[in-house]
Amino acid sequence: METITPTAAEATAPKPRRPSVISPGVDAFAIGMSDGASFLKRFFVEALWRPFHVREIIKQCYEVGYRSLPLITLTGFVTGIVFTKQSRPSLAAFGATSWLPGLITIALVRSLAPLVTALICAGKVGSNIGAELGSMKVTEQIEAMEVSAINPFKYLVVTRTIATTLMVPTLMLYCSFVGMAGSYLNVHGKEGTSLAKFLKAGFANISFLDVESSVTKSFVFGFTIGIISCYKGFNATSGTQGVGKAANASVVMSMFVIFIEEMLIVQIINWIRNW
Amino acid sequence: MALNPPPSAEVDPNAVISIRGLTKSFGDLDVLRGVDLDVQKAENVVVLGRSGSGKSVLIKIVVGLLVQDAGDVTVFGQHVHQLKRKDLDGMRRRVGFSFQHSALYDSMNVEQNLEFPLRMNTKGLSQGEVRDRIRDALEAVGLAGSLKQMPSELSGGQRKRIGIARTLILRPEIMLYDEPTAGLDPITSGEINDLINQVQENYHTSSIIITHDLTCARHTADRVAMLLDGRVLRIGSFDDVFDTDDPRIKSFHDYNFTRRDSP
Amino acid sequence: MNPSPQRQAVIVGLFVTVALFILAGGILTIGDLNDTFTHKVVVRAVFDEVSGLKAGDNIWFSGLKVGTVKKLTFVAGSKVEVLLNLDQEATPFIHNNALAKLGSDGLIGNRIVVIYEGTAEAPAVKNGDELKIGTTVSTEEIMTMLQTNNKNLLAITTDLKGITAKIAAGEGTVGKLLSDDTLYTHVTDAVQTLQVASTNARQMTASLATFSAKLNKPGSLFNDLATDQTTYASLTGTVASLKQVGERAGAVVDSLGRSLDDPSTPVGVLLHDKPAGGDLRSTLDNLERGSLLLNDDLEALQHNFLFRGFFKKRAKEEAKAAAEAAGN
Repeated sequence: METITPTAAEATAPKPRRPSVISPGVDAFAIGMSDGASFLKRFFVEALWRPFHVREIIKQCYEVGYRSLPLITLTGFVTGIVFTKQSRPSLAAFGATSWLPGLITIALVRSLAPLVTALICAGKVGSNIGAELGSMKVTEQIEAMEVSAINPFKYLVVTRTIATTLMVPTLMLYCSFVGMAGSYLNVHGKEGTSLAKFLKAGFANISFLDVESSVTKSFVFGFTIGIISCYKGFNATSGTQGVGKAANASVVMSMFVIFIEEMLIVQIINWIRNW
Repeated sequence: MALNPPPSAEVDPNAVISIRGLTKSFGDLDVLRGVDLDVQKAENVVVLGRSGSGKSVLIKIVVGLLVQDAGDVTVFGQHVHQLKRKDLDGMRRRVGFSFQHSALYDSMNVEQNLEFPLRMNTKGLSQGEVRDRIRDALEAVGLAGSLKQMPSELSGGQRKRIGIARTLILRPEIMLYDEPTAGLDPITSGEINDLINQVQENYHTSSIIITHDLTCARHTADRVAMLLDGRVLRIGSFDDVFDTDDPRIKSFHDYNFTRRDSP
Repeated sequence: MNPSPQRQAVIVGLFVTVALFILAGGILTIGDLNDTFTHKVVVRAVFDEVSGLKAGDNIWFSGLKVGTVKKLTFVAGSKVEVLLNLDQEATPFIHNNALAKLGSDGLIGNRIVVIYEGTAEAPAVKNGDELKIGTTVSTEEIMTMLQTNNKNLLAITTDLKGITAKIAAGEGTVGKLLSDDTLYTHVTDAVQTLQVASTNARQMTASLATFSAKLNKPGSLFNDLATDQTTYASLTGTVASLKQVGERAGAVVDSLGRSLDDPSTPVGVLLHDKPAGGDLRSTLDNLERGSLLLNDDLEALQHNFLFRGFFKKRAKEEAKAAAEAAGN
């Protein structure tokens, strides 16, 4: 039996006048990865040394955290109510509506609150940072900072990334709290469950590891949103179109990476749980 | 005064900025092909050239925003591309850079725009000293009363002035102007030209002024360098440079002046 | 317009503080952290198998959570040693002769370890004690027992049927009944079988009680329903046939007992006077009690009065015959 395979020479023969190493798409991806990696490395190098721009970090925390609170509160509350409402019929089929608090708490604490918070922040904060740094880049404000002997990476990227890394977990805690409150209102209205009973039943199935893993997850998500949005904004190409692109790419890529991280972290946490 | 560029030999020890054999290309586009230029103390040098001829690239290399492919740039006797981050920042504090679009920080008001580089670069200033320096810088550009305005509320000329004030607040020894009159009406352009001369007089700065505006060049230049095809074609006083039959230089001159002051 | 930097710092500070309060509140509400502050007594129990018990599963005593499973390890003989973390406050009430068994807690069926019994005379458990394993009645065991009883009852009814058939066939008088060795042996055999059966019946009713208690728990019923349809089907089948047998046996025993109790009947008199008769009587009592219990559990039995009618008729005939004899 013979199979037709390209000869080694055919497969590896360089095409004339092809400037890219593998293909333009793969090359661009590889270059993007390497740029991203050096950006990440630069973050850690710059974050370790003075000056720390504490005032700017606080300002960014205010922008990222406090300013997102209304949105997170609304989303968390709605999530809690809707999730409770949607879960009730399935549990009612087994006559197990008393399990609602437990189910909601597990879902909210383990997964929903970190994820919802991260996605909302990726949308709101990520696009904000991407657009802000993008427009600073194309209007030469970043260069202006540089020639004023101010390190724009430190002043813009490090402060914003630290702010998102700190604020996303904080917002996640609010989101969990508000989500639980929403769920409680719904459960209390329908089943007449008391608050004490709700909390007892809810937290009976939650372990310290769950809370800890959610907080860790949120730190990772926050860092992801900050660093990716800053990277996209910092590397915006010139023109107003570049700003739009940077904002858009910040959101899309942050969300994409958040989902991948969620998957990986769940695996790691399960591994720890069974260990 | 030599009309031809000086030979690419050793660095002039008296020059504040000394550029030798500078080349820079972006992809297939060769922007600079061996530029030689010296700027003496307290001298205004105007670099004239067509759009896209790499004039802005030249001064961005001078402050280390871009890195040349070949050649050497020394500022205050230091080789720019060999400087460590700390020393580069030290050099940059002594150099003011006025951007083409002013590049004001649009999240900050005028006062904060001026205060920001000052606070970041000067430790231990009292609130009063900061206020004084801001007032001085704003007075120097003739805009003393606009502290709380946001950049978006300012006109193009005002933005340009604030941009210059923001560099003046660090009391630079060198000023680099990128297209200072681009996009401004003739009257405002004239005011900016006067401002450039005032800054030179008051602060004794050496300047490189990048422009394609011959009026600006004639008003501000001690010397004019004509940048064409990535090289300095002619250098000298304004009249000397345009006293030539070179059609490229003539067409440059004629567009600006033939209609008004034909001989 | 943004608030001043000082105001921003205050807001951010408050914002983070409240979040930390939420975090702290959440963590304190979580049970297992509270547990780390209470003292533990560790005892052992060695199970043959643990049905998926995991570390961290709960331990119940009298229906209250008194601790968690700490660790599971294999020991010799493919047994599993389970280390139990007991809360110190609960240990004074758990005595070291208490038993441990596996159980499950309700609908979702989390595995738990149940500690039960133990007598007040025995000292309270302390670190390192080993708890004995109590036997748990599994569904399969109940099924087997029900089936054995079913067979036994069938045997009894067959034997009784044999005797009564012979009585019904009118094979002689009481004297003939007693002089007939084969018949006597049959009765003795039947009595022995009855004895065994009544013991079984009592056991069975006990297990049935346990089992029906289990059945009444919606959790296990749901469990069995969901996990094993065949078991349930065969169980219902067994119960139905058992009920039939029970009905028949009940009828026989009822009539027999009645006639035996009545000293006026010759069978009764004769059997009353002999120790064997006493035995038979108590055996039948037991069986009756057992089957009555069975009746309670499996709905009321229908009474069959055929036999009583037969004995009454027989008594009348005998009286008549005696009168005739006297008259002659």
